[in-house]
Amino acid sequence: MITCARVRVLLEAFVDGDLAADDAARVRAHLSTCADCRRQHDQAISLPFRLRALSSPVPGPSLVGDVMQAVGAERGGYRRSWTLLVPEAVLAAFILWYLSGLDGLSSIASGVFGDLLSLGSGSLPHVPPVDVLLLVALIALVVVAAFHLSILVRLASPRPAHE
Amino acid sequence: MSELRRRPWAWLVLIGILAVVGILLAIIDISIAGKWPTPFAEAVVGPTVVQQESGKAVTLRFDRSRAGERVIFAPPFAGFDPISPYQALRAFLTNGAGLIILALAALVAFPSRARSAVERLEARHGVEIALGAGTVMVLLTLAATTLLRFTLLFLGVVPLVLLVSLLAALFGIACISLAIGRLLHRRLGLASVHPLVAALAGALVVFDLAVIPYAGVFALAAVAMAGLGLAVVTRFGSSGGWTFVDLNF
Amino acid sequence: MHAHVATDAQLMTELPGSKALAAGQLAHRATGGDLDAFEELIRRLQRRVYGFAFQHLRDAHEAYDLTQEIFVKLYRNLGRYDSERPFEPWFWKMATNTTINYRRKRVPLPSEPAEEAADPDARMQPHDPTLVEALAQLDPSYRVPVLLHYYADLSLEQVAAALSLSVPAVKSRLHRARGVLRNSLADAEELGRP
Repeated sequence: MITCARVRVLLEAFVDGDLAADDAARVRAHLSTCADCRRQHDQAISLPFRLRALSSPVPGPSLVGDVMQAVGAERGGYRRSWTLLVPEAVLAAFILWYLSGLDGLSSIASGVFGDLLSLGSGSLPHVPPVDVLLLVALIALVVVAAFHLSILVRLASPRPAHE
Repeated sequence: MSELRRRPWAWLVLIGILAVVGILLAIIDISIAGKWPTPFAEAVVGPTVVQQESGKAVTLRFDRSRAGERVIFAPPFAGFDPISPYQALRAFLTNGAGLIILALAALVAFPSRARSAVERLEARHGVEIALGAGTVMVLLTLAATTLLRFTLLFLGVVPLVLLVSLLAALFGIACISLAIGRLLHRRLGLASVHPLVAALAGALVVFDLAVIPYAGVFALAAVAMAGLGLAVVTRFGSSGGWTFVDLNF
Repeated sequence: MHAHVATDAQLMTELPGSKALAAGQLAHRATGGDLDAFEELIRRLQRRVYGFAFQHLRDAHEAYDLTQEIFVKLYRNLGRYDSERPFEPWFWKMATNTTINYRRKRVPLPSEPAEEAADPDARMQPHDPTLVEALAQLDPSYRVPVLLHYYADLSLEQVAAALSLSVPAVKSRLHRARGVLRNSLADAEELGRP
């Protein structure tokens, strides 16, 4: 004869359908006779049922459209990020040629560090004369590269940009 | 055969193979340097020790055994440097261990960030995005630094930018090591193992790539660029990425 | 009102078997680049996912954003789906991870009215406000397994896989969560509804 205490212990598993068949039969038999345990059982069973019956607002027709738009934007962004490599390569090649190859680039690099060291010693470094064309090319490369990077960041970001 | 692979010690075997391959490649690197010099190999494996003891009193702090001078073999073909397995082992234990320790430390220090970055790397076009972002970052940094040279603006920023780039590349290489480890786990059907062990195998793969003669420097540059790109594009693996939402208040 | 609840309940407990095969096939075709299959797939999933997100975040805007994030992540990770395995557990594991890592865009105000809702349905009163309130006060690490098991109708094994826990751990969390919920419900019912 199963006791009320034992039934209380088994009640959770019984409500979830996890009990073995003979245990479940014994609990069911007890519940048909014991009003207290039946009340406990009704309380226990109501929670899963209420959880399952929870209603939520409908997301609205725009959700699927927004997601497909974000997916399309991702595909377009990926294609665009490849094509942007072309102007970047052109600008970089032009700058390298203008600076007479890697020697020019390394002289600039050593100049940067020389300037930094002279900053430490207190005297202001002097600005080397520079061609406007070179400045324009450098600024263009910075702008294109920054734009390219923003596209790649959007491809990697978890949030789709729907603003 | 597949049951053998499920055992955890399959990972040990894999790591052992990768370590041996790394040492062999380092040996080849040292030996080839005589005939076709490669400055990068010098940087990775160190200069070859060929001179005999000179009789002077010399303080030996780091190489008391001087085993390097005793374990040198004659090169198989004329013109090559002598084969020095001891030096290769030393290079493996210093540079290889350094890379592995840095990678594992980054993973231990920033586990959720690493996971977020690796998730993006393993998702659609992840590798292309990382490599592309690395290339763009290099171009951007070079162009911006050159511009600063001509305008004298914020010169002090340059060392900071280089330092941040180095940290970003290290974080990225750590994530790439973990990703390679996970790839080995999936493709070779190995048993599940502690993620740091997988990352260790991945870091060894990166080291082996770096130590390949001649092509290694390009491989390492590619991995470093991909790591830098990955770190920048995912904002060091933050859960929200780069966003202006917080500024909009 | 009852019919609405009934359809919702029916959707929640719809036989997973008949839909799962189709969902897996859709996912397989979407992986091959079929955008129509992907659209159909998210059309089928959107109510459950949005419902799950809404019950977890209690804010229509945030739930919308989280649902979008989950679907974009689905698109990006389609290549990692193994069509030999069932689709639902894999999908819900990914959705759960995204939910747990989701950073709210703004601090949720508990009594914020949904005046900017795109559709009039969003302004309807939840038919079980005490339970909804009790859920909102539950700790997220308890709320997620409750929602996964009872609301999204995943089995205990699927919930365990989604949360990277053992089945006994999931059971104990559900047990504790149910206890907390019952206490809150009993308190609320004692105070009487306003």
